[in-house]
Amino acid sequence: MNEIILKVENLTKKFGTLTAVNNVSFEVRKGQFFAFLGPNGAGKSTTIKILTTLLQQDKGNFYLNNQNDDIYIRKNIGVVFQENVLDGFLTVKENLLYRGALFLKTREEIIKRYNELKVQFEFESFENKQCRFLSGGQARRVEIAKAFFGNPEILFLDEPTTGLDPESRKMVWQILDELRKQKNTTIFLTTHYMEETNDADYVVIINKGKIVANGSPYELKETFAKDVFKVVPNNKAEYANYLKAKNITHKKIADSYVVYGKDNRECLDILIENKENIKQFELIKGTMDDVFIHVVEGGKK
Amino acid sequence: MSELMTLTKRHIKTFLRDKVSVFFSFLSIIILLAIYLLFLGKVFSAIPGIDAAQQGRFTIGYIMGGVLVVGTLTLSLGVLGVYVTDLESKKINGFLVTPVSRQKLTLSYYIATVVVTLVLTIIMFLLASLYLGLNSGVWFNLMLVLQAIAVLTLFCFISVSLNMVIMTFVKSSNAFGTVSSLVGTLIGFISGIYIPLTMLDDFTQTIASILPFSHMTMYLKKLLIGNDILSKIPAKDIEGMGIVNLKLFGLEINDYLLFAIFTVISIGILTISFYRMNKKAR
Repeated sequence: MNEIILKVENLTKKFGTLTAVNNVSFEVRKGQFFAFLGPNGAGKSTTIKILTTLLQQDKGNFYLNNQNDDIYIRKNIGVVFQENVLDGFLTVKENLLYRGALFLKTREEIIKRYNELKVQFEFESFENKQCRFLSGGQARRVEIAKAFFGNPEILFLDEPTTGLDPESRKMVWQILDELRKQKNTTIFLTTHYMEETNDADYVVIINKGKIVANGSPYELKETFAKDVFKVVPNNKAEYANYLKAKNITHKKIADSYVVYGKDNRECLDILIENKENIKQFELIKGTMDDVFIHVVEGGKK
Repeated sequence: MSELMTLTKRHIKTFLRDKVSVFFSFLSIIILLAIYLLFLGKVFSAIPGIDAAQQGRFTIGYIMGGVLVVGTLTLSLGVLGVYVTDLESKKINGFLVTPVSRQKLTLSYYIATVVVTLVLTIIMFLLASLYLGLNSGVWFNLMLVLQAIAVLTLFCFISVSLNMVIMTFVKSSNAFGTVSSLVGTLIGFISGIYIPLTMLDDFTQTIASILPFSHMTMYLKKLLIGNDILSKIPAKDIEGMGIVNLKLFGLEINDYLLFAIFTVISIGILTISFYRMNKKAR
């Protein structure tokens, strides 16, 4: 098991009478892809703001490599914000060199690091372009490179793909995957796209300031989202009678039946028992969307 | 490259590359020059007691006295717009998550504003001097140029300090635009830059007497026109053009003491601004 890089203990933040973050505790391990999810207003952004030293918590504490000194933390984190924070009137090169000067001491070090990033993030062709003329995907690539200038141990990504087209989102994820593989960078992600968390090592879901679920995507899906299967029978009446007789939960949609088994074993038995009456069938895997809806909507109920 | 210098350079480039912001920072100056050239130019062509060359110097001195003071005010507001934009667009968060200290970040906005305001104001002054020399053959001597630059440096410091505290109350670009227009116009009128102070009522003149900008304008006008020229013009005409001895709460105060008081007040205000700006960040 990898060592703990970020330890959060009983973090609490109030705004007037609203408790935005309520006694939140979790751990992130080195090299882990950690997904922090929650609906709007759940406390995700407030937590990220505290962890990136933008906001002071009211109670609790957090440690990066067992240290909680602000300057140490700032030296060792990279942050990609939801908003574009590139300077539109400056070129890509200027944006990065100015960022580099806040982390590295000498001009030589800065230029060397810049040249490394230029190759790694493939922005050589537009390095002299002012950032206001970049496409959404190009700007995101530059923002990640900028956050990565100081060689951070942990990269915070606050909804990094919001507003991007599918192609740009794919490109962003390719970059992040490479960073994880090559540099073993720890990634702390918040996102609205649940499918992006399928490859996460660990997921924490927060709602109304409190952690409501946590675990690996597999564990969460096992607990909160069952696999179901969809059947198109040859004889609809016969199949409907079978389901009714066996008291199996199901839903009829057009010509098909969506069947909810207690577990995979039961689903398999249902299929085998009706194999002569099945024209088509399709297995529908439980998704992180189901987990999220179950956990968050369940919380509302 | 130090962090402070890097941040300062970034703010300066961000401002100068935004041509619209630069234009609007000069707008008050352009309007003021237009007012002088279109309406007041003729007034200066018939000043009794001085020859044509001296009238050229009087005109340039009178106009530039107002233009340069307005310049220190509107240009510094324009550069401070970078801070407001950074705050509104959350670009400032990009700096706050780096190891750079909050104090250095605040200081970088201040230095960038002082540098841009001072350099552009000095360039305006030198261009006006060149125009005067080429147009009427009257050249400012080196001592006067150096003295004017020293005075402009002090004026930039005062204007930037006062604007800085105003900016700490502004959170959006819209509010910033409104504040900029209000400050430029109001100060221009109350300080006797747009129209002579003597044309204003007693109450407004009292307000003007406690504002540093009216004293700055008066001092600069007198410096650029020169005592030799002013002494030749009948007192009634000088007063009619708004060149008077401004008092502070009815007291005659020596210019040096007056500017020392304004400097101390500016330092105090600047300290409050720094405190307020640093307080916004963790």
